[in-house]
Parts: sequence; structure tokens; C-alpha cells
Amino acid sequence: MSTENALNRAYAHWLKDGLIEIGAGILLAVVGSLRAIIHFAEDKSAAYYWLSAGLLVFMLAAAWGGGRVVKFLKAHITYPRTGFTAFKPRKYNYKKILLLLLLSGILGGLLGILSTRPDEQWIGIFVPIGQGIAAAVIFTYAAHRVAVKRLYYLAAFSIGIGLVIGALGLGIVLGISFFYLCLGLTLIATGSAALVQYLRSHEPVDLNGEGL
Amino acid sequence: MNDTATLQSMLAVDRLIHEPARLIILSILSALESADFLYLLRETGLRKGNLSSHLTRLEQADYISIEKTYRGKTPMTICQLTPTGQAAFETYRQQLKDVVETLYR
Repeated sequence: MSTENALNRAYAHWLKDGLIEIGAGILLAVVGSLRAIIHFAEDKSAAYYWLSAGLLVFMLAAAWGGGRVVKFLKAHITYPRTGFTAFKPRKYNYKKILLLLLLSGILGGLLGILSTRPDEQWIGIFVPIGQGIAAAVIFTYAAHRVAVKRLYYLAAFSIGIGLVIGALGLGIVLGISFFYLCLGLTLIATGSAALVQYLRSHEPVDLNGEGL
Repeated sequence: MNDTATLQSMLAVDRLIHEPARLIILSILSALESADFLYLLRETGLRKGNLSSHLTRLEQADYISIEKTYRGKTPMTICQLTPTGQAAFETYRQQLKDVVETLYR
């Protein structure tokens, strides 16, 4: 077994129970739905500011506590059934991260400018399609690397969701929001199905003081 | 190193690592920060007692460290490759690679 293979198997083990998908799905669904509601709220109304603040607080809370919640659930669900693994700390390439942040900023700014144009509705058709393709590329790469079949289905779903939302012509902001919402709900559904199957096929193992 | 010397270096490989079960254990642990007994049990396909004895031998050689701990209320035996184990495993891999390359030349 190569080191790369052992690492990929550990990643697959990490994804097996569907908890990561459910967590990511909840995050995307809440962000998408809050963003959509904000879009409909009247500018400079109290509701608009409260919802905007709520979205920011939720994202900060998710960034701070999301990993902790997943780890807590894994400690109670996964580790007693299929064991515990910890990955080596990553060596971050700060140049790449900075470049990625810069590109994201430029893309966000560009979308912000485009959303104010009169032909915004027309551009809005292609943004969710582009998001769907980008998500599909990520899912396909992950599926190929860790050999988890359902990630291929998620890649196909992402393209489908992007096409449908694009065809609805919701505009840029609403299109992006609905894409996140639908992708989030899909992730919750596939993650829950994976979790149910995982729980059915893996009973907690009682080592009973055996072994070491 | 000539071919004969490379092949003869096979005689000097670390026998502790050369055993298939221990080689699998070290391959898994070298890719990770740490893993627990249950994960190793599932990945190696060994029996509990067998895995336990191999882990003990690796620990005695200071190739791995073993820590008994809790995650939530679950008791766990966490295994981690030590720097000595990492170095020994790298040396073994290089030796084996050289021998295989010589055999296919």
C-alpha cells in the first residue's frame, strides 16, 4: 500500500459517514436562503440590517464552531464504529491562498458590478451554470481521488442544479443564492442517506479491553 | 553501488519492518498523523491479538508511540509513527526501491 493510497483511504473513511456533507449542506442552505431573503428585504429597512448581521454572525459561527460540531459527532458516531484517524497538519502555500483570495475578491466585485447592469437578468443565466460546473469539477476531483461513488452523483447534480437555476433566469444575486440553497439541500439529502447506510452497516465495536 | 552490492543490501533490510503485517501498519501510519487501534484493525484485516502483538513489537523498537486516551466517552488506543520509525521506514523503502530497480534493469 503506497502512502498516497493510505492517505486517500483515510480521506474516504473521513467521508464515509456523510457528516461532512450534512455539515457543508446546512452551511450552504442557510447562507443561500438568508441571502435570498435579504435580496427581497427592502433596502435600509430594519429587517435588511438584521438579516445581513445574522448572515455574518452565522458565517463566523460556522467558521469557528463547524469543525468542532463535526468532530463531536464523529467522536460519538464514527470513532466507536470504524475508528479514528488524524491527518498530518497541512503545509499551507500562502502565495496560493493569497492569489485565491484575490481572485475571489475580483470575481465577487465583478459580479457585484454586473448585478447592477440593466442586462443583469441575461448574465444571471450563466452565473449559476458556471457555479454548477465549478462545483462539479471539485466533486469529480474528490470522487476520483478518494473513490467515493456518490461524489460523482453530486457532480452531476451540481451541473443539473446550475442548468435549472440558470434557465429560470433569476438574476445574479438570486441565482447564486438559490444555487447555494439547492446544492446545500442536495448535500444534506445525500449526506443523510450515507449516514443512514453507514449506521445500518456498522455497529459500534466493543474492543472489550482486548488488543493492547 | 553496483548491482551485486545493491542486491546484497537486501540482506540488511530491517526485518522488523519487512514483516508484511508490520509493513502495512507502518504504511498506514506514515500517511497519517495518527490512527487508533480500531481503524488499523479494519484497514489491515488482522485479528485483534495479532495486531496487538505487532503494535507492541513496533512500540518496543520505538518505531511507534501508543497512547491510551478518550474521544468523548470512547476509549481509544492512538498509534503514531515516531521520528525513529519514520526514518527507519524511509530507509527501508529506499532499500527496497533500489533492489527492485536492480531486478528490473
